[in-house]
Amino acid sequence: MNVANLGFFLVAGLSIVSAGFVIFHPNPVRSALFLVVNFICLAILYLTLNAQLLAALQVIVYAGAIMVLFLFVIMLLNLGGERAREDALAGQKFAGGFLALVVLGALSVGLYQVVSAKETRPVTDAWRLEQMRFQAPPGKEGEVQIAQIGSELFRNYLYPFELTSVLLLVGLIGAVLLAKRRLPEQSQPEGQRRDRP
Amino acid sequence: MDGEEQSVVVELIIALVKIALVVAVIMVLVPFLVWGERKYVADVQVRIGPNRVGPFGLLQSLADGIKLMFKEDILPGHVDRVLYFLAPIVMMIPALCVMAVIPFGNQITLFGHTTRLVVTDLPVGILYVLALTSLGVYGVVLAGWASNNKYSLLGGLRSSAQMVSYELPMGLAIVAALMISSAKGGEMSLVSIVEAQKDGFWNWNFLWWGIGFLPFLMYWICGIAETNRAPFDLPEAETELVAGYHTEYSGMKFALFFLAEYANMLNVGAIATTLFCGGWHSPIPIEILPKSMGLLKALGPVFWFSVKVGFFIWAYYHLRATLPRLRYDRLMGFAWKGLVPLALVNILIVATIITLGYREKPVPPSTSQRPASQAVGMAGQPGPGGF
Amino acid sequence: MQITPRDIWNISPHLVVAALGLIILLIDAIWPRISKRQLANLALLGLIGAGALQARFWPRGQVTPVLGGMIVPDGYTAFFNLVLLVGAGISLLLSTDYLEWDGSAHGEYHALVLFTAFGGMVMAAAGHLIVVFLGLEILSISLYILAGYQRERRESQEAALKYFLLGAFASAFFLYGMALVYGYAGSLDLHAIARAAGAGQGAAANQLLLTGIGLLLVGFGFKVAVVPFHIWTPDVYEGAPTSATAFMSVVAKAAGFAAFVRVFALAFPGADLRHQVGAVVASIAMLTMVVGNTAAVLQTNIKRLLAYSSIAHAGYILVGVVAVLRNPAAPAEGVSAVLFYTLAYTFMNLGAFAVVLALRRRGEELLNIEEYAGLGFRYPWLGALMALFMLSLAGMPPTAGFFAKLYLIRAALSPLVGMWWLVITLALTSVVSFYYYIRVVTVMYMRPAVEGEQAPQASAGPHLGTGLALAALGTILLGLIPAGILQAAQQIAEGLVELGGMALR
Repeated sequence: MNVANLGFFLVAGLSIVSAGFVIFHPNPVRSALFLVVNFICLAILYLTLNAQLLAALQVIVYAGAIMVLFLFVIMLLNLGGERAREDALAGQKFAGGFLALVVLGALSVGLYQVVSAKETRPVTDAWRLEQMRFQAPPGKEGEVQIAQIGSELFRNYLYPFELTSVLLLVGLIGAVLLAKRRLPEQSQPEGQRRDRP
Repeated sequence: MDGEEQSVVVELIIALVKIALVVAVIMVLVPFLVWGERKYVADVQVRIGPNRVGPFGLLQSLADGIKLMFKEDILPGHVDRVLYFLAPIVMMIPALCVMAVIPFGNQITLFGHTTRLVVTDLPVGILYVLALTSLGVYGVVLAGWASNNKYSLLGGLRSSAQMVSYELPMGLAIVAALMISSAKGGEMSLVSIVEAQKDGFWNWNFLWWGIGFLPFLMYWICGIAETNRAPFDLPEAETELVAGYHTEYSGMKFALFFLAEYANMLNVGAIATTLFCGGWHSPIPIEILPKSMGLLKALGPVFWFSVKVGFFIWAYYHLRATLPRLRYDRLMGFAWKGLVPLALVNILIVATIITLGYREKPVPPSTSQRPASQAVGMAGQPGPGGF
Repeated sequence: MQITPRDIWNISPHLVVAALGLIILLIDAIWPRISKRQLANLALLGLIGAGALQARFWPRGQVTPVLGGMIVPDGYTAFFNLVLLVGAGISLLLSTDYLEWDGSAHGEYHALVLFTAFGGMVMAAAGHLIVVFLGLEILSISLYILAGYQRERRESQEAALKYFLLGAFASAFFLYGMALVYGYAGSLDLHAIARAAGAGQGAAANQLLLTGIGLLLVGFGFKVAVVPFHIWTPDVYEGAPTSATAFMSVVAKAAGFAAFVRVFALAFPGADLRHQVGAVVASIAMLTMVVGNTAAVLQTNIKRLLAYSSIAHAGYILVGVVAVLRNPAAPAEGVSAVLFYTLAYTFMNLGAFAVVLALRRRGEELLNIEEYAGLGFRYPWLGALMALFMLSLAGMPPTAGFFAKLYLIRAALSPLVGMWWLVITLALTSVVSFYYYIRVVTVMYMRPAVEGEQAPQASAGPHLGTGLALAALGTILLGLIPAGILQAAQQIAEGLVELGGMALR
């Protein structure tokens, strides 16, 4: 095992452990912080794959912006106390855990078979094609360039890219619609539906 | 030890020396920055300021630092111990790490080894900076939370909202800067951005087509907000929140917050210098010193870099001395209703100018000269026609 | 990739619908006092325009994917575009009166309906899993919001939250499935996946593909509400505003099945693979039909009844999917059956909801089935229409529902499919379904009407009336002259299969 491998297993292990803590830690603030740790581990894994742009974006967007808002909300709602979670359905926890194990087992069996097989990677025309698309200029060790990502995004993936903007707009409308304070003149007109209990 | 191995070791040593140098300079500078601030603000307010310890009170901050170091480290009973302990560290680490990608000088040759005066030149350097600054907010938030004190919590909440809000226009201003830089052949690495601004101050990004000052000013405003300095220092507004997120901190932990704040000021100044003010380039491209004065000549860029950063530090002092603190809703409104739309419009204008004014693709800069420390960092090299 | 005018014309229905959503938002923002009825009219006009564009640029002959393979503008896409446009249009017609009565008529509702339809159209047209996913998310998020649209009502809030949490979970499954499929094929392009899967990568890699397919199945299964991913359906259908329920019951289902069938029919060739996947889908279909129909029997609330009925119908359509997967000789037959069923379901289900939307009692919606007593005599037209839709949903000849089911059975009966027990389940559960559909009719016609203040009131404005008429017309016409549509569906299905075959060569 060389140094790079060791690093991978360290970071991967840390990411798994932190992901576990996200779920199992009773304190929501700590859970959120472990999620941050998990994101940073993922960013490091991206770095080892030479995907530096992705790594930076992972940290900026997820760890730097989204999780801060998470923490903000958790603090605002004051969920921090170490509360024993009351389980309305105690059996659910075990059933859920069991099912999670089943899924984990199925996935790991599948992945193990793939990894242990002689052909480690499916080599097909499609795969080669995709590789060629992302191939860096000669002599650059297969590093994905920022400019390449940009041109992919705005050429081949233009339509999906535009679709995401619609997606974000819809989310925005939803946030405004569901959370906006009702203005006085917008209140219900008289004589319509009866007041709800 | 064969040749290759030897060179790796040498590069490792060079990198370590540079890291130590950068960290040490920041650490040593901070007490003097504090002193400078106190003196300057006192001057503006027609006071004398610190004048007892050392000549002109120069050692006052040093004395304060020593005091803080030897003070009893109080751990209040009601705090969340782990997070309380972690918060100052989380605050400090990104502040120190940002400096790693900022080129503070040109190449230097010492003992037969030529190296660039930057710890590491990442191809996605500017994103690295953004990533780390976005992590800095955790220190404030955690400190506010862990202190288990309502003033601290309010400070933490305010700062998380403020820093996230200002990060957005800051990012957009940087995007504009990158576009300007790319029009001149720069990439995302900070070294290439500096190189794209060579040959005189008229090539600096903030003078670009008369529009460059807009992202520059926006970056500067957001930088002040990100460092929680006046007039955006609401997270620690002493008139309402005692001392905000670090109310419960004392001793060395408090000193770390202090250090981080000033280190962040240096960072913002250094990044503004790099992105908009030509980095270490001298304003007028005239060779004053003859080639023979090798070492001194190599320190010239460092001098210019320091002068520029110094200007920004002065601006920090001056703003603090002259401007009152903003009201909170104004602060947020300014970011979302003022800066963000302005930044978007600015990007549009810059893009239009680039499309109309730069028909030919700019010549990609040579990628042959890369710092030796590259082998230590995990960076690859940006290809031609990067960003 | 060059974007040619042809590409733009090919996706013009999408663009019109999305732009229309934006325009309505803007108009509503600029003139907040504008009558929402006018907004609905504008939206309807736009939908008709989009439909006209789709008809004008109806794909003929050789179809090639456009926009870098992201969108496949074939007949299949065009068909589902029309189904979704019709679904959205009738839903808008149904909702205006209801929203005005409810006092919650805002422009956002119409915009969200249009964005949902847009997401559905994107899903139907997708030639790339990324596009499928994005369409799915646009559709889903709009629907989450619509479910929580009556935000003062607790049930509506609950519906939105449940739908959102479970839906996000299902999306995660879908994404993981996409990742595994990418790991197998090295691409998310459906044709590229098909080439990789057709070439075969050995048993081990197949495991990866199968796991990926399984996870995709979970994602699709949630969206179209099949057992065991159906738990959300009754609560969400009950809690959401009734007009939104009507809309989501048809549009989400049509869009979900559109993408489901395209992905599973195109991306995973190879007889063995399809046989395996087909077996899994068949068992899901059986479970869905049994659970949906038996649970529906117990319902007293008409919205919950229709929720379980929609689950049952998803099960029927899955039988068609099984026929697609397990009949290598003529997969087109299964595809055309699914197409026909989706269209028929759109009309009859919207019709049933239209009747529910027209009824009130003392300022409340009339949702309890027992309260429909005597409705057939009090409002003969409404009663008759409700009876028509119920019988069609049950599958009585000569309504649309009958032929839809017939074609499904015909497709599934092919000896190559080898799933006679599935067909028997379909027939038996249909018999069960007669019980609860006919019960509504019996209550309407065989119970004495309540008079006085407690009596149900019907109010159908011009919009609702038109919607009701359109739904009835569709249900009857598809039942009387199904041949034309079926022929078109068959052609379209053959086009889809041919396209899939071409990709492999």
